[in-house]
Amino acid sequence: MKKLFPLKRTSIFRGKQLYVRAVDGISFEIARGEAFGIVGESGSGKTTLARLILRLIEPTEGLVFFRDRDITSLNASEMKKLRRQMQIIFQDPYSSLDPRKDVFSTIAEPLRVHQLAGDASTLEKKVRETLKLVELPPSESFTSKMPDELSGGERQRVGIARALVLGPEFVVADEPVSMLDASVKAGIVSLLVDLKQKIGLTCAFITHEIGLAYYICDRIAVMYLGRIVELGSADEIIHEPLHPYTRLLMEAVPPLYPDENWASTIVQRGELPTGAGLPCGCRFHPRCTEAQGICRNKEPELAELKRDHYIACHLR
Amino acid sequence: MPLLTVDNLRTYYFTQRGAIRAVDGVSFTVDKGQSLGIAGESGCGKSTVALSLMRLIKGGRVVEGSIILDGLSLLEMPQREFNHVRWRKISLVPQAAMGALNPVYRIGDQIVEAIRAHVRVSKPEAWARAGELLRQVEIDPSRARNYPHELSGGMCQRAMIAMALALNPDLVIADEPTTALDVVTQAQVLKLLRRLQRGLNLSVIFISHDLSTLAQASDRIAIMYAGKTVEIGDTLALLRQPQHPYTRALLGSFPDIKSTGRRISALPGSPPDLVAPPSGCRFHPRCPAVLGICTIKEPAMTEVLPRHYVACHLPSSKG
Repeated sequence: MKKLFPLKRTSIFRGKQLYVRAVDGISFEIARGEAFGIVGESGSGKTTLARLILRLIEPTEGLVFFRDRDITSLNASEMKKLRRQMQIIFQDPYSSLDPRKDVFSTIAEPLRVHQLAGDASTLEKKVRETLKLVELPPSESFTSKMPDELSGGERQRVGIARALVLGPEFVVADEPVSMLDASVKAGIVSLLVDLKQKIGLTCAFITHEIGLAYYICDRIAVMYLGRIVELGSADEIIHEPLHPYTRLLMEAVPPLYPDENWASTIVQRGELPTGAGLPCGCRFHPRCTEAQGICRNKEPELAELKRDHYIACHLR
Repeated sequence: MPLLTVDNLRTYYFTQRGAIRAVDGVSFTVDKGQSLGIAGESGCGKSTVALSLMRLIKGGRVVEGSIILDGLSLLEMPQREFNHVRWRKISLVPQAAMGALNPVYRIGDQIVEAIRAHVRVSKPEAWARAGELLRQVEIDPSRARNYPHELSGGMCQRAMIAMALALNPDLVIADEPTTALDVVTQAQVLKLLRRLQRGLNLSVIFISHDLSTLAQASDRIAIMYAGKTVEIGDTLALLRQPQHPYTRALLGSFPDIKSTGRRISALPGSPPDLVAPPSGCRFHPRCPAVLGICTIKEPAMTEVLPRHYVACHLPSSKG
């Protein structure tokens, strides 16, 4: 069953007459129960996209549909009600928790904000259940801890608990593990995979680490400078990448064994353009080893090349 | 004879709660022209090792141990003498270059400043040297006139590498040099460091939490946990036949998309409090193979395979 978002042209501008086209014409859908990966380097627009989906920032153009309902035109109180169903897990576990609230208060807060707290014992029960869901101890000694008494992994689990306590259908996870250590990352990633199975959580998983997206996600969209350049199943994107940028990303990932040939063709491909200066034609062409004349003049549209595998490229 | 020998290094930070035993008996060597990777998670002490080598520890001090660089004992020499050694024989590329550079000075000015702080040369000579250095790190020398915000993250990091190479040191310590960079830029910087290592016969200590980065950038790897080295060996041998349970756990937690099968394993618990670390082996509370002796006696580093050292009570395995 389909659910969620066709999101069309959206851009953000900053400053007079100068546009940073952070998200520039993105459309996709996320199915119920799906883990949808959005992969891109910094400057790709993925974090902006994450906030747009939840209307934490407003699109310049375009629509977001949640359960076949256009949420872009809802007013504040309608949107607030909807937020019970749509939540976010933030990237930085060190700044996303209120340092003056203990674990219990942090997780209870969404219930209070949405007037779903009930009486004291109901509230306690809900908080404890959510803690168990994220594999944290539901004991009083734990819930009375303050954020600075928690490890990075524990903080992030509290952040996840806070996102889940209202029982949302959909969660956006914005780089949820990028600030955590390797072995801690693995724990959080495993937790998210479990949650997906246990409670049928639908999620948009935003990351710059394509390897992580592979572990959690069913489908992956690869973003570059505000647009989606490739979209397909996680298996196909990782094992049969079609777009030159996706291939570049895959090539750049260092393997876990020494390889002299690794990244040998990456060396002189330049870096991401910054700010408002976008290349004309295909945005990737200055860094593309296969660029042709048409690539410099005309921007390619995202089109279905193989079944359920989309790519924005003139050359395929 | 190795270029650098670190023996039984202990660096503690002194706080109200007590002494944080951040580096607590670390020994390793680095040969001339060799790259040693130091891997470990936050709090394991790897950055403290780097700062100890550079005598840049604040809020604490090296309480024991020796550091011998090219025959010179770095910890014992007076400050004035060490100031001659620092940057000329050993230098540091800090983390997150964009933040380490002064935003109100041009890149060239900053490299020149580093040069002239240590040797008496004229400004024109120093500028010429700065241009050479930038070329060496594959930046157009004309960019010396740019400010940090006019360069990308990757270029800033390369400018910091240039600065570290300014006086032709024997040893460069790179502290998480690619962590803040995008994966493609990271690949470029890693390849550059390898080329410099080989081209200049440079010794490098490469600090990172990312084992896949170290797999490409270092000849040998030392794994640190809770202030101690737990395993040291040649890169390929260590990655293919990890001996220590922590090394295995760490390897298992990296998504390796280049091999088949989706598997990722988590290590329960978290690193210990370094004011009061666990008795015996510091890893024992989280170790899947813990034995009785592990809770009582600290294991010593022993050579279990040729040039492959482990600190563990468990018998070594070949697989």
